[in-house]
Amino acid sequence: MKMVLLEVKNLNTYFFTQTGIREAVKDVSFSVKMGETFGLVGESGSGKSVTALSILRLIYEPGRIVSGSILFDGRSVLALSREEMRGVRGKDIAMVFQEPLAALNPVMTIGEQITEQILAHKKVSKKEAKARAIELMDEVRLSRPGDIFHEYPHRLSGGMRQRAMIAMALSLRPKLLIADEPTTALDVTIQAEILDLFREIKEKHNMSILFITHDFGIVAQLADRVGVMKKGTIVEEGSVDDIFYSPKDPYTKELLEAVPKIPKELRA
Amino acid sequence: MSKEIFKNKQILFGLAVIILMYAVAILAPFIATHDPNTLNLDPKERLLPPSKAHWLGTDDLGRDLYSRMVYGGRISLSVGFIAVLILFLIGLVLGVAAGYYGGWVDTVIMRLIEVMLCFPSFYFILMILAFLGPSIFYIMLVIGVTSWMGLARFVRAEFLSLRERDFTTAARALGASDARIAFRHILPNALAPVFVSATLALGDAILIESGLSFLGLGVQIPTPSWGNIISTGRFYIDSAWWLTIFPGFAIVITVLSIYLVGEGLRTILDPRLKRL
Amino acid sequence: MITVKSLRKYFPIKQGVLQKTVGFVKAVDDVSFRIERGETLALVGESGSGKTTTGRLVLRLLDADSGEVLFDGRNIFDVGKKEMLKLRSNMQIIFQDPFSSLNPRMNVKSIVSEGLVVRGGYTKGEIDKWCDYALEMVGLTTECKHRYPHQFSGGERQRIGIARAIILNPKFIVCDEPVSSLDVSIQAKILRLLKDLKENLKLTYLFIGHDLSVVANICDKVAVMHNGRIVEMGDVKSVYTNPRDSYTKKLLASIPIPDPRARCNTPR
Repeated sequence: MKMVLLEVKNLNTYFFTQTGIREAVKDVSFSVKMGETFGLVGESGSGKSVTALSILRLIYEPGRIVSGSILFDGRSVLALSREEMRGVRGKDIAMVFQEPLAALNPVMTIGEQITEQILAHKKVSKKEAKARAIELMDEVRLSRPGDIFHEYPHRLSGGMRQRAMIAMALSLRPKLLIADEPTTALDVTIQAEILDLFREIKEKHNMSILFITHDFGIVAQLADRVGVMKKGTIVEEGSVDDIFYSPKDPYTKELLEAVPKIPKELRA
Repeated sequence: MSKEIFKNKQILFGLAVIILMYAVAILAPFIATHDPNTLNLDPKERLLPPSKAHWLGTDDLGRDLYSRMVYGGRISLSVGFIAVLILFLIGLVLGVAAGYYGGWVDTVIMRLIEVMLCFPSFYFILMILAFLGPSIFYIMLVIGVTSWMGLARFVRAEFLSLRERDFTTAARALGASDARIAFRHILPNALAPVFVSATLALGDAILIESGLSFLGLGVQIPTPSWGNIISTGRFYIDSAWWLTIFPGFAIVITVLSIYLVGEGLRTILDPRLKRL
Repeated sequence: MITVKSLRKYFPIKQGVLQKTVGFVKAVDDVSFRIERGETLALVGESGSGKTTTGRLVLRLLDADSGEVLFDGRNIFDVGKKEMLKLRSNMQIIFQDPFSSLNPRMNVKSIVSEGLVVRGGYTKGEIDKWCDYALEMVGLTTECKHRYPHQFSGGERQRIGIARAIILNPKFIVCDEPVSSLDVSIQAKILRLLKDLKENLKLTYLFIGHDLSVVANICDKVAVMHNGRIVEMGDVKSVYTNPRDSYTKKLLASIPIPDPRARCNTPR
């Protein structure tokens, strides 16, 4: 029995806007064990991104975590002070976003951004941080890391930017990696490479991954357990085999039915 | 969108003041208490402070200030309005041409805009009026002809971006002519920021007219204009404060209200653009 | 019905203050294919492959640098304005983005009946009637007529776009990634609608897409594009089961299959 790393219980995150209250996350509960990959899948507006942001307490006005508990490694995330939370972000829990151009600072080189991340949490010299950064870039299979170190984000391709962001996320060896639709903006061939990378990371470091996506194909390839979200709630949760081969909820069934599949006679 | 406009207090207040000002200007003959041009050189009637007989006092020639201001408002506000109409038309036509056709048409118009912007507009206007002579018509014309550039740029920018949108391509695929696409499809979407620009231009136009009149190169006495009332009034600042304060206040509050409406519209439009 | 011969479209790259042309982006580089009446040809490729540009060229929404597009034997790049207008009734397009493909300031009736209005010669009653007919064909009620695009969901907006395209009773429709921006459950419905319309209205489609799983279910023939060229073309079965080009193979292998048992555990 693997230990539970992240436990979310009855989480409620609402947005209080001028036009009304939007219940983005309603009574959501799930857990992610050590070394496990949990796939949070749902259509747009289902609340999956907001759930991820809530775990890292990155919800700002007009949104608010209204109630519920988030336990990470036994500690309550919601009870931490701002300082402590900052220590958690990046070090214990790291996040990779959908659009690297938006998430990476356009006026800092890749190298600067990775080393900044390292130096913010660990007391090491600049030289050591740089060496570590190059090591990480190599790990995520960025070719010529020495050159890329001095490049600006806009000079890299989409796939390379995403690898850079993953390198940043891995820099402090977090226990949990949250990936919010990291491949949605990429071409399918690049997506395949990035998914391979995630698989490698999972095996090499025995890291827990919370993978958010709308693509059932990705979930089938990467996840150990799956949670299906619809309009803010989790309608079904189970192992990946359970969800795909014996779905219980009608919405899950409807989604699985709708997923575009290559017909059997066309499969090589 | 109309609902948002009417809920915004800033806009409502601004609109209320503007409507009031224009109403006063339009109704001038009915609400003035005296003839604005009747002189009364009797020293007892000159430079009187506000009283029941003369609500805002009298000026150095015994004329009732309130009536002069009411008629003066007519001039100031109509000059502003017509000037904006002129600049709106010029800016719209040139902006549409530049944005829709692109190519050399765009280049020529852009260079024209840049050249026009190089002139310090107020002094340019002064210079032209010095040649043409300060008639009200020329004032409106000159202000209009020197202020259209900002609006044209807005229109052009909107056209450039809207031209590439799918719904424009769809119209072309359906066989719509260039003119139809420009006026039926793109223009309605491009107008929103243009109205903001035009509104703010109205405020600017009124200020320019007041400035010109103050300097004596705008509306000529004895025709009253808020600017030239202040101009004659400034010699009596210490003895007859009402001659400068009231017209000054009128200008300030009118232009301020116009800016409030313009800025309010712009705030409403900005988040909307993201939503589109 | 449609024959494309050696189509070329190069976009000049301009640099410097004087905007000198330093090179070309070969968006469409010597592309040729045929679509028979009643067929659906899928044009598949990743971003930058030239598929969208090809789609626009086929409808003469862009001018080609060289090559021909023959519609029922006539080269559309050779015809005059009047003739082109007539031809346009026969060839229409459906767009990818349901949000930018409809004019936000026009109501549904104006949008859908645009084709008729542009042609002229229809009475108000006729326009109304055809508008109702088109809306019903795409599964929308006629009450929609007076509403505006922002009041509808993504899937409904796509339907409006389809209604706009079919009102002129075209024979050929270019579907430019019509379901790529939609949620999975809506995708299936719109694809179903496109299939039904093809049957009922005897249409011929050029279906542009990047998702091989989506395309497999709707097309008869497939052409794979990469860097402006067609690298492989053939009927659906042979391209999917027996791909010859290495890029096609790579593309097929990159699709994450929504089946946990089909997990490939070997990193590339």
